[in-house]
Amino acid sequence: MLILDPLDEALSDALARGDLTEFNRLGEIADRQAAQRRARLSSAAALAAAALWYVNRGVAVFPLQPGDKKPYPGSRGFKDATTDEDQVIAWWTERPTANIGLPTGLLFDVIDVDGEVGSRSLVRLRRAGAVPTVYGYATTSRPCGKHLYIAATGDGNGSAVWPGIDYRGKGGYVVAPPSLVGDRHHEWLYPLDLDALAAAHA
Amino acid sequence: MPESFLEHARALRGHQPAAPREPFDPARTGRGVGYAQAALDQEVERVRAATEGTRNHTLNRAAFALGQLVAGGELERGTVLTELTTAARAIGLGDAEIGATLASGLASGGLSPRRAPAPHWNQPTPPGGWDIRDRDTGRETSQVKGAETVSETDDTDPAHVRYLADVEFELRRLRARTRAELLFADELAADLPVFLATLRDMLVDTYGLDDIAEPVPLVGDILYRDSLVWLIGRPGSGKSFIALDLAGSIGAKETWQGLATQGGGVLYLAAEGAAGVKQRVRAWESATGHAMTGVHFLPVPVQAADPGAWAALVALVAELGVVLVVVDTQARVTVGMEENSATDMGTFVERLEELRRASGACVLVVHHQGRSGEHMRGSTALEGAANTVIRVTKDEDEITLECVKQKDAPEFDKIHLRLVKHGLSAIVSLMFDETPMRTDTLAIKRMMIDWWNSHETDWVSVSTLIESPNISKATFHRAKKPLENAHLIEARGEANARRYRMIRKPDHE
Repeated sequence: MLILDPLDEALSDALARGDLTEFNRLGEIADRQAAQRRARLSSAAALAAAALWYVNRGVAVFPLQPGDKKPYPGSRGFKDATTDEDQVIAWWTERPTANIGLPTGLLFDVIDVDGEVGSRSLVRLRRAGAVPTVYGYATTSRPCGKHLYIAATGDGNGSAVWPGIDYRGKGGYVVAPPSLVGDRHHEWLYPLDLDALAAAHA
Repeated sequence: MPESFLEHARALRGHQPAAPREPFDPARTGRGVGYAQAALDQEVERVRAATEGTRNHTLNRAAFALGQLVAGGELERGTVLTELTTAARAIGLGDAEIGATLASGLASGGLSPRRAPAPHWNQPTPPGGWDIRDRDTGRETSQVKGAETVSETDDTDPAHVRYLADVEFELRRLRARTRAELLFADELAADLPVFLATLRDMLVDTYGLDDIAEPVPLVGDILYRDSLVWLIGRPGSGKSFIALDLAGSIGAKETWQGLATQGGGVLYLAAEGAAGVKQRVRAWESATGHAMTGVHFLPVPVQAADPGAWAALVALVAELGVVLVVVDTQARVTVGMEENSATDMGTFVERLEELRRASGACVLVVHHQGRSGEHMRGSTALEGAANTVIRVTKDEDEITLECVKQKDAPEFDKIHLRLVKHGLSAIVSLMFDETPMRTDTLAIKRMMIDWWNSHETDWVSVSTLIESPNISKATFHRAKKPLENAHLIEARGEANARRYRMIRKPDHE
């Protein structure tokens, strides 16, 4: 699976070839894209739009407290998750800055990688062939943090499966891009490929 | 259901070396010691009583029976080996034979561990038979009917017992052998206990891998100690100039073309003869302004196919304690060896390994590359054995060193050198990039922002750094020098444990 943005690779290639014209041309495109993405992310409607994006693709969502990973007090957390568009519009109309929670264990489970330690563990697990196909790849608010979305396995949550690696399966949830936790957005590096995910379950 | 990452990961996590086995302590079991000792005495006695023709079989049987008890924790392996070896020597078996027999016997027995019978062993069968129930269902299993069933087999007849034991032994032996053979193939006949112990000692888990010594750099991130390196290129591409320049810099404990070296003695096997080397050395000395000290030249084409001569070379290398051995060229020391034969090149690799093992040096082989380009000329055995392969190409007077393979370390970026005429010969010198690297290109900007976001001013390794999505190894290595010069980042630590950190927040965000 391609994790690097093809544009980044093209940029690297151009630089390696010493083709500065091409490098600048691609760089401008990349900069424009990045600016657009940042604008989208920081716009007031970003979270509501994203929540709808998930729901329209059949991914159940539920609201989390703004800037945080916790569900609203008094809610039932991930058990409230729904694909009902009206409910989602109602939620994010009332609380436009609510973060987005996605329950795991339904379509996908998530390998939660945290910190330098987790990154190292991930490399080792990859080498050992333990990491299955990744259908979505997102950064988190933590240093070196990333979420690897894999096809649901039926497993439950796992804590410290490996150093710096947690697992979110049945009965768990993750904070989804573009939620803002602390001062950092969770961001898709490789957006969740729901078609491929559906094919994997078929 | 897709494969479970969780199970896989946990299984790998559990893949740690077995806890050291508790030392055998007779007091621990209480019941077993008498039985185990009796079994040992009995088997030793049997071996001592064995007559010619049955000696090996008896020894094998004894090793099997005691091997079961060793695996069951009733006996100490060392005791069994000592006792049986002594007994077997006493009846005239040779050590090689004893070793092989004990190896296979103990290994086979070890596959079906046995404990000493529990104390109630000699108690009479209770009325109605043993209470043996199917553990899963709680129902009495139909096979167990009671005392009368047990007495049907005449287990009081010593001959019958012996026969049954023999049959069981043979079956187990065959089963165990098949399993063991799958594992060890030919080595089974060799010294299995030793072999097994060696392998066991070599077991490491994923965390233990961290304890394996990182390659020790000899020249920058290019050459490492204790490695086999091929410097390949077309004839006339300047390979020998580079090999000599490396040798001279290391011998003189100088940097090599701006890269740090770990200085030390060098043996330069100038198999092409002394004359050519002399001119190059003089040119080098005149250009650098100092003598090429620390380099021993051996202007003799010592042949890899000649075990005697090569053994002398290995001894010489060990005696000199050099850090670099240059073999210039491969063709000159492999006369009569077929370059495209895997067997011959396998032998050559083994010869080079002898040099490496004897000295812990970097063994650098200068080798002509075929016209076909990419690959090393000759057998793939060479490319497989190499820790490092460097290709040298020459265009006019510009020589480029390119990393084709760097097995245990990151590949290094291309190095551009210039071949400069000097006196009767020439020397190589660093060619500076015409366009100095800028630090404000997009890729670098991106990298710096990502870096800051992920690590701020923490010290991090390159491998951690490139975990970040916008940081590629290539960009990093290309940018590190200019970034260091611009005081944006700094480095610390040796090349094998280098850490970098940002000095300040990048101002272009």
